[in-house]
This record gives sequence, structure tokens and C-alpha cells, in this order.
Amino acid sequence: MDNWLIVFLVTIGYLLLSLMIGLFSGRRTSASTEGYVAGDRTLGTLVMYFIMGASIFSAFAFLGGPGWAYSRGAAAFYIIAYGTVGLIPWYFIGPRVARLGRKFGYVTQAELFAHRFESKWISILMALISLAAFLPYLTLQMQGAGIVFSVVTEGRIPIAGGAAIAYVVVLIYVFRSGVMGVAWTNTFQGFLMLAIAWGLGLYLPYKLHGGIGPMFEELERIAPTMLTAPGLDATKNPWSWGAFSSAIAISVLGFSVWPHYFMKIYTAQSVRTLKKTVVLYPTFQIFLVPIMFIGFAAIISFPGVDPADRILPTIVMSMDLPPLMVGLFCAGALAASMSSGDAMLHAASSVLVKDLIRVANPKISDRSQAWLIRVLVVVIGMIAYYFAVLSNMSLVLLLLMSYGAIAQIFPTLIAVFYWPRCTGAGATAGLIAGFGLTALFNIYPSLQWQQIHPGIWGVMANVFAMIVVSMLTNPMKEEHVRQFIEA
Amino acid sequence: MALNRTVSRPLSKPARFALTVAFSSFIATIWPVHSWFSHIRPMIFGVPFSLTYLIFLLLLVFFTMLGLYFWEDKNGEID
Repeated sequence: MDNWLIVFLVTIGYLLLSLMIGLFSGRRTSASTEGYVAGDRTLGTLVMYFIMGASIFSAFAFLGGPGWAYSRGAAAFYIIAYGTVGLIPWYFIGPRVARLGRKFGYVTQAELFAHRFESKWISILMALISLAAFLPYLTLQMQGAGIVFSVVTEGRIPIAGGAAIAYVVVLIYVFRSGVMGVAWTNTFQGFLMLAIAWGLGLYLPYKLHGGIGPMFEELERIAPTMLTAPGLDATKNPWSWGAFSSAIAISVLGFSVWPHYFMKIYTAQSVRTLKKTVVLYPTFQIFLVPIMFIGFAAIISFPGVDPADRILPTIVMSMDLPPLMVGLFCAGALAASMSSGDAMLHAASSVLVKDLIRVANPKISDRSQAWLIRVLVVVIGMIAYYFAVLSNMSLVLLLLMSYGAIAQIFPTLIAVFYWPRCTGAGATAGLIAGFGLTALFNIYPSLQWQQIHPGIWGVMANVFAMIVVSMLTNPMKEEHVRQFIEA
Repeated sequence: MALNRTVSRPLSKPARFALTVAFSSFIATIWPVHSWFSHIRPMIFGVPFSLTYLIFLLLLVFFTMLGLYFWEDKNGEID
């Protein structure tokens, strides 16, 4: 049998297994939106651990991580740096969010904010920002899946075909099982990713350089600037500390408030589960270290691979590995793409129904909402697929803006729980100022100073506007605010 | 003003300590603190010091939060 066929069959085996797990996992939840979106709030620690780990580690980490280390050296360390503390706010704020979610029946992020500030505009604003931020990420995941298929089948399956195969599977299990499908497939996919990352990350430096130590010593001789932060920028010139530090800062702020992660707080069965998930998360995060090793291992042995994101599949294909191994790698890379893509698809359609459509039409029944979310999973999947492989329209600007835009939610989250004087008008003004300035700096890069991330200026404007407008407007009713501040 | 009486639950001492460690670790990952530790040598287990430094911070935060969790568990403060 041809090698590529074995690889293809192993990959199809992985997809079928994901599909089965995804289909079976949704059998026990209720037909309500609480069941479909928050899994009836029953998820235990193991599943929470993998749902967080695997949703966070996307095709970006699995393909982009080695790509960054390969082309930009220590610049890639910023991914390890922000993950170190990114989830910590959940330990302190998460239990409050979970308690209020249970009490008032929230399943999305904006429901909490809209209730605290008694403002449907916040709900609409947050929903629009979330959807705009999801779209480019979702298209990246689909492209990632397509690239993997295309490289390992030596071009026999084009990118469009590979993306379609992987994402039809995702659509089926998300449609059928909602968050439970996402949760249990992520557990399986998370295991696979961890095994492949550690396996390849330790094997490749050994195979190519005789070990991790010799590899870094060789790099020290040839490219020492790649081994110390802030590393290199996209044009291979030294990256600035301003850009490196602000990339970490904006990622730390944005990390805990990405809507598709944040919504998972509502799925935890207890506060204990939630806290354990936060505490254990770094044990997942540390798998970025072998991921970096893969990229560093390739600098000397595989020069000139462009785009750098293809370095991992390129190494795997040119090393004469047994086809079974290559197939497993392919499955691991698809797992990385699908485990983030499914969470985003599920979150995007939930946000669209709960925070936009329901706000416009409050009479819609819970059962209809649950069905509408399912239908929209398919619609959003098709739109993202169009942008991923069929359209030539670039989403780069949207992608650049998205982390900075999402980070604007963080100051508002702090105000929800720690600043009783914050009013709906203040929070709305803050968000608008924050988004506005972030967008402005992205559209006109010449305004930037020291390559500091546009989102940082956005956060400053956000906090300023929130404080000024809150102080200029009437305080909210104490008994209402107290429910949140003392939650 | 009535709202002034509305305050968040105070954090326990160990929780404040853990939060301080986490915040300090964040400061340690950005300029200028990070730049003081961004060297290739000494390599530790063959890994450049710049990367070992970040792994150390990751482990520091991990063990601090683990300690906080066990303390809260022992003192009935998890929920």
C-alpha cells in the first residue's frame, strides 16, 4: 500500500473516532439552551482541563508555534509568557461568574454584563465584537486543517477539500451534541495533541542534532539573537521590547475573557472544579516547550521553508518516518485545529442567538433558541469556510484587531465585580472608546509608538472613559449592584 | 452614598499572596525585568537561560496556585 494512503487512512480513523465520541457525548443533556450551551452545568475536572487546554491550543500553537520559533526565535516565548498568568483571574472571578450563572441562568458572557449594567447595548456591542473576532480565527483553523491534509497527502487532497472533510465532522458533532460534543472530543483531541507534541518535540532535536543541548549550542554559534527575547520580527530584524512586552500584556488581558473560553465557566459542575482547572492549566501550557523545540530544531536542518507555518508538516514529511507516525501527526494537527474551531463555532452561534437575536426579539422560546443555535452553527461554519478557502478577501486586519478588541472586555469584567459605582453608560462608553482607539491604531499603523500593541492604548482609553462617564451619570441601585459585588 | 457600603468579599492572606506572586511573575515577563534575565548562558539541562527563566516562572505560578488551592481546601474556603 502507498505510504500516503496509510497516512490518509490513519487520519480518517481519527476523524471517525472524533465523530463517534462527539455524537455519543450529547445524549444525556437536556434539550434546553442550558443543556446545549452550558452542558447543564455538569462538567467535571478532567473534561474541563482538556476543554480549556485543547480550545486554547489551536492550529496556531501547533503549526504557528514551531513556525514562530523557526522564523523568529525567542519572539515565540511570548506565547509561554502570557499563558503563565493568563488564566489566573478565573481563580478569583470565575467562582462569582459561575454562582451568578447558576442563579440567573446565564450561558454567555454578555448576559452577565448586560444584567449587571442593565443595558442591552452592552449585549449587542459585545456580541458584534465577539463575532468579528471569531471569524478570522475560525478561518485560520480551517486553513490549518486544509494545509495539514494537503501536505501529508502530497497535494492529492487540496486545501479546500481537507478543510471540508475535517469541518464537516466538526459541524455534525457540534450540531448534534453542543458543548458536550466539544467537551468530550476536546478531551480525546487534547490527549492526542499532548502525546504528539511531547513525542516530536523530544525526538526531533535528538534525531537532527543529537539532543536538546547540542541543538541549542549549535544555534548559539550560528544565530544567537534567536535564543534571547525579544527575538526577531516578521522581517527577521530584531523585535522591540515594546512590541514583545505589549504583546504579552494584551494577551494576558484578553486570555481570560475570550467569549468561547469564558462561557466554559458556566459549564463547570462546581467552584471546586473550576479552581482545579485553573490550578492545573500550566501542566497543559508547558507543552509549548517541546513545540518550541520543534521549531528550533528545524532552523539549521531545514532552512528557507516559507511560509514558516508549514515547517512542522515539512519536517514530518521529509524525515522518512513510518507512515503510521505521519498519520498520527496529521491527526494531532487536525485535533489542534478542530478542538479550537468547534469551541468557536459553538460559541459564535450561541452568542449570536442569546446576545443579538434574543435581545431584539425577547419572546423567542428557549426551545426555539436551542434549535436556532444549531442551525446557525452550520451557517457560521459555511461562512467561515467561504472566507477560509474560497474568498480572496484578506482577514488580516480583522485578525490583528481581534486580540486588542477582546482585551477591552477585561476592564469591564473587573468593574462588574469590584467597582460598584460603574454605570451602564460608563461601561458602554469605555468599551466604545477602547474598541475605537484599537481600531484606529490598527488602521493607521503610523500612529504607533515603540511598536506598542494598539490594544494597550485602547485599554487606557477604555478605563478613562469608563471612570469619567460613570462619575458623570447617576449611580445604579444599590440592591441590584450588591448582587454582583457581593456574589 | 449608599453604594460605598457595597464592597467585595475580602481576600484571604494566602490568596493575596498568590495574587502578588502571579502579578510579579507577569511583571517579570515584560520589559525591563525580563531583559535582565534574557541570556543564553548558563544553559540549564541544555536549554538557554532565557527559556529556562520562563519555565521557572510558569512553575512558580503553578506551585503557588496549587498551594493556595490546598490551603483553601484545608480551611473550607474553596466554595
